[in-house]
Amino acid sequence: MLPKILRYIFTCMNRNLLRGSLETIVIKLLSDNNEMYGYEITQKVKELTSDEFKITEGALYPTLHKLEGKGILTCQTRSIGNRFRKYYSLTEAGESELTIMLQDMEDYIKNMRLILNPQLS
Amino acid sequence: MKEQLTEEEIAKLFKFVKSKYVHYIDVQYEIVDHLASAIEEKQTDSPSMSFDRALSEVYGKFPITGFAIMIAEKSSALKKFWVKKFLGFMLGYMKLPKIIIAGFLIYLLHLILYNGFLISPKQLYLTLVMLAILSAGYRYKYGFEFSKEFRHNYLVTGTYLSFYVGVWFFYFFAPLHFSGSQHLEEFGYLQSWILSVYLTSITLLLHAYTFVFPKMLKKELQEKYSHLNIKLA
Repeated sequence: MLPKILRYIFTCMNRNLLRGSLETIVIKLLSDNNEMYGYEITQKVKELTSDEFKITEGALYPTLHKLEGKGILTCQTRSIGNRFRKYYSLTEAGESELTIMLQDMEDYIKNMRLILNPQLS
Repeated sequence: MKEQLTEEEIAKLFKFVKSKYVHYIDVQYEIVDHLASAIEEKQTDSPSMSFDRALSEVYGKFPITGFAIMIAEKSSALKKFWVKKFLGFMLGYMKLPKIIIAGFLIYLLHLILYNGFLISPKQLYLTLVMLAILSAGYRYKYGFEFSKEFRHNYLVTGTYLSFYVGVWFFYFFAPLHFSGSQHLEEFGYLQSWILSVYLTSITLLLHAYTFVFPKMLKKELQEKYSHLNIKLA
């Protein structure tokens, strides 16, 4: 019973950490891949992290829409056979946002390491 | 090699998405592509998996609220998008070169109001109402503002119109405080400046509403939503 509860707690913590970093992940992936569609982003994250990170649809699309609303992303819809697909890409504002976000993330990770392993400092 | 879903299966997905209370056509397209991509992936990994089973597994990954959060977030993002566009245009009048036009209009109105041009507040308000009616008549040609279809069927036009109506409310009700008096009056120095700034802002807003914002919507629909074939004049 206890391992199950612990596993559940760790999954929740992991999910919260991932949710907090989702904007950075999306922006970085779009910067590296020029343009991507929603499902492709979820698959790419799974592939890069060897299935460790799983972005749920319920978290990804709100993030994409939020970033689009902020003017960080833009999109284009194109026909692919018998349906249409929405491709997201970074705007100029998004490119400059990426630099700030990566720096913030690096600072955050560095500080977390200092807190979790004080002997390293 | 991934097999693409058939036309019938895509149609089934649209039906499924509609049955989950996604009434906006532009949102349906996005969800259908996501579901279709995920189903295709599943069927490639397990070729014997049926379409219905794959769909139920894919939909199971969405939160218990289904697509509701996604629609709410998209709606809020689109509202922010329009506010940013509208404000960006209006704030342009506070920067060079447009600030010269705004400054000139304010000064001209101040000269007219301060130098004995007699006008009752009620006449002023009625003039604003008349201008608004003329503007609405002009915008009628676009056809979307008064269309239930554009308000309810597409999130992109629905969010645009909700903001649009909100600002009209401001246009008509903000000047009510000076519309009560019937008397002609001369405006004082400070009063004429304040009124000039107010009237200039209102005039620019009306100009943007009549000529600029509908073009913004048209451009947005052409660039990002051409697949929906939304017809604007």
